[in-house]
Amino acid sequence: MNIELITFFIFSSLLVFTCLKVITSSNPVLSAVNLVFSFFLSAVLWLLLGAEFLSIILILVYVGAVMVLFLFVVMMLDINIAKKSAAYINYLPLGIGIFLAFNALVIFFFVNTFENIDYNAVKNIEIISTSNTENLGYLLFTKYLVEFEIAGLILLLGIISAIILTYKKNPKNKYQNPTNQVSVSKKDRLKVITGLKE
Amino acid sequence: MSLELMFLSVNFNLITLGNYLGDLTGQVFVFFVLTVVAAESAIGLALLIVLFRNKKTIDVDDLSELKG
Repeated sequence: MNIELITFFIFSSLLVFTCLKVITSSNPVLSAVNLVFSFFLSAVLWLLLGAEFLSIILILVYVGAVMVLFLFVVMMLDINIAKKSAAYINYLPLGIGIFLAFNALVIFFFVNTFENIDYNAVKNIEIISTSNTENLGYLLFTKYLVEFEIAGLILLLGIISAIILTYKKNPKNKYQNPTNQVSVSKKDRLKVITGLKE
Repeated sequence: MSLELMFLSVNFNLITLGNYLGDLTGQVFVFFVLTVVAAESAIGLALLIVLFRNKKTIDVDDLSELKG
């Protein structure tokens, strides 16, 4: 009963409970806050698995940017508190049946594949040095370079589409349009009136 | 939000199996999944904001203009 086992049991049981609270709470803000908490707990579990870089990235990027975006939108929109008598109680037997079937599939897969594994396989993941970040960086920049660049393009796409979707021009703003100003001609601006009596 | 939970479970699977099989490819793939999820959340929430601007509600039952 070493400290890793105790840590794993505490954090994984809390994680299961928190994720259940995410999907069953009626207040959407409470749901989002529970999701943030579950990300923190799973970051600790990833640290136990030796993925140091990804656990910190989870907290910085996923919680710090994506979940903050979620919370902003949830607090900005007028979301009604879900009614207590939601109709999902009718689907509970089907849900439990699918859950048990999926569990059986996963347990069958794990038991049959990982019978003779080396449980201390962390030392096989040293490619260029002992640091996880250096290994990940080496892989990302040599072997998976194309995918790395495509990921950057996907982020650019996200930026452009989010801005275009929500951009609203202020109609009271006065601004100049140089193209229209330069392409003006004499007959647009000058009108000669003849035959005026004094 | 349940979508974020599903993505979290997929990332968990990738990291755990990468640890068991001694390969760092699982963590590389998690890196890309996090990228895609961030972009997709941003675009999805932008769509939600535009919907709220036009309809003043995000209740799915009120989006029934094509019904009938």
